[in-house]
Amino acid sequence: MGKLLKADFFRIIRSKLFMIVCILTGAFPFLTAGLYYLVIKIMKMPGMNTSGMQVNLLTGRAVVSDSFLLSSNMGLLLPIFITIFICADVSNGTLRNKIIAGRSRTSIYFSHLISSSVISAVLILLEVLLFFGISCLILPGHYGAAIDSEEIVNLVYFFITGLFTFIFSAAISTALSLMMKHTAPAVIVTVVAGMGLSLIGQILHVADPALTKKWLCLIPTYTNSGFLSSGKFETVSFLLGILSYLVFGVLITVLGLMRFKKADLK
Amino acid sequence: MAGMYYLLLGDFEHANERKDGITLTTAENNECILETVNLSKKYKDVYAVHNVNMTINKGDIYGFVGENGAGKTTIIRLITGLASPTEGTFYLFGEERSGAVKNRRVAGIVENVSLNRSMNAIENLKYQCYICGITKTNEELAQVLADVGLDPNSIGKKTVKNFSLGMRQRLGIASVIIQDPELVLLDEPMNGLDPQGFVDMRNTIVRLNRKGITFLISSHILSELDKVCNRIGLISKGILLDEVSVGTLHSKSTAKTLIDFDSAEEAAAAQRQFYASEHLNSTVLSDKTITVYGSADINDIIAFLVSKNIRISSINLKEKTVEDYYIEKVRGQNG
Repeated sequence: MGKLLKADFFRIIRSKLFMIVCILTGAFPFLTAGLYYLVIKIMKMPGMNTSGMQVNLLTGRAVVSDSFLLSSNMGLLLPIFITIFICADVSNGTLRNKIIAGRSRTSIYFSHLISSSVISAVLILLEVLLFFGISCLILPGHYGAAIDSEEIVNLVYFFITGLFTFIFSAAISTALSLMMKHTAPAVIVTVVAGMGLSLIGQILHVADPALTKKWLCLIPTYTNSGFLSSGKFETVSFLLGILSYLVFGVLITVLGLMRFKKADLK
Repeated sequence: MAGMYYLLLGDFEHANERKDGITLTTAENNECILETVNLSKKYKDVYAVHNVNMTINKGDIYGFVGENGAGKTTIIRLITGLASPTEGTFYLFGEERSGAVKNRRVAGIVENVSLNRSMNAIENLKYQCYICGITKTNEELAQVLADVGLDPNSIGKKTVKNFSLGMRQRLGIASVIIQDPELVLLDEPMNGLDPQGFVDMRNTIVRLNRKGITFLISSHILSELDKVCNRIGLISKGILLDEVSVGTLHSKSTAKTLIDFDSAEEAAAAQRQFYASEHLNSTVLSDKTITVYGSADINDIIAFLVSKNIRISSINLKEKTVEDYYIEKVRGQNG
């Protein structure tokens, strides 16, 4: 497994697509926070009528929390990158080389899953830290001022949930890529799955907050949506949210692995 | 003819084996390293491969011959673990296998050369080393490239997507031999190569075989298999029709006699006489040449034509080639 991971990371680092993803990851916080900053400046210009507009939503906290959604920039970029990366292994035939060299299908699957998860986690953390730093510098309100201890706890919860969101997303991308093998359909289905889950989480939360408080945090991606509207995490919801990611992530991985182990490879 | 090829290469041991047609392997013994037992692969109701029983001995260059869709690639995919047999089993190095082959004793190219197109040659070899869990220095990697006819200095940092097909094939072979395998499976290695590429590929295979590597090669290009293989397996519609030593094939019988005439009219007249004859009726006319199939005595043919007052330009005996043998067998199979 270690050797396969080494091979996969070698391939990722040598990939031009990975360089593009890194550049975009670095650029998104500057672009988004910069845009927020400009809008605030414009709205504060003399003679601007801002009645009915919620300037207080344009905060560092908002951009940081938005970046963890699967329907956000990174929520689209990372699954697309992972899917292309894994499908290229199939289409180049290098996946075949691994099997001919005697690597088990289980270790190939987990090598892809782990490398995808690690890349997702590193890039999303990098992006969020940049968001956080830039927000502290240029945006007013949350993260433009001092952060209290309660907000630090919220941030820790939120970071952990965000990481699980993207590892869960990597599990979906890995399973779909190795099941479908063809890049274009796999990318489309991966994006639709991520967007769909994100939307389901948000819609269910809006539909019945009382019910969702109890049970719907078991649906992956719901917890993030809850945090976005309420502004803080409850420990039970947080733990149930993590549990849901684990349960669904394991389920998708088992299904993907079973299918991959049985498949005849070209 | 094939024996002469080995002699030209200076491979006297191998040439002798091919010439006398008795010894099947280049190695010191007939250790069987691959044996399939009733190996079958069924897709829905159709058998892609049906009850194949074949053996490959250490040191063999075993050629797989068959038409498109005959099942050659399927057998290679079964052996490499890319697909699972629906019936039967196979033994590799004496061990029964059902899935991936552990350790690096087997390597191969199946269908297409598998390379990362956005990496250069050295990076591709490094990647293959990571997959196989081996460590090689840049100098060793450059040497492997040189061994397959790629100049590391001239290809430099050129990525594989800018390589010609021949260069890709060579790099594919390099990524196979870098693993120091004992058995190499090559599926259509001559595809897309130019004449020089054919010769280089052949030389590489023979050179590696001399180092002790056993080969299983599938190809449509029967004349190339004839030149390089010491054993041939004929496969048609998923069934292994026959396994034969190429040396035996060449030494046992004359396959055909080619008679050239000065004009097409004379050839046609001779053809009519052959048809009228009871003993020489297996002939094919093509322009000014008649091909007489079977092991007819050349003196009888000349005497026959002289008795009919027909002039001939030249007469040549041809050894049975793999192609002749394949056509004969497949025709026999199809009735």
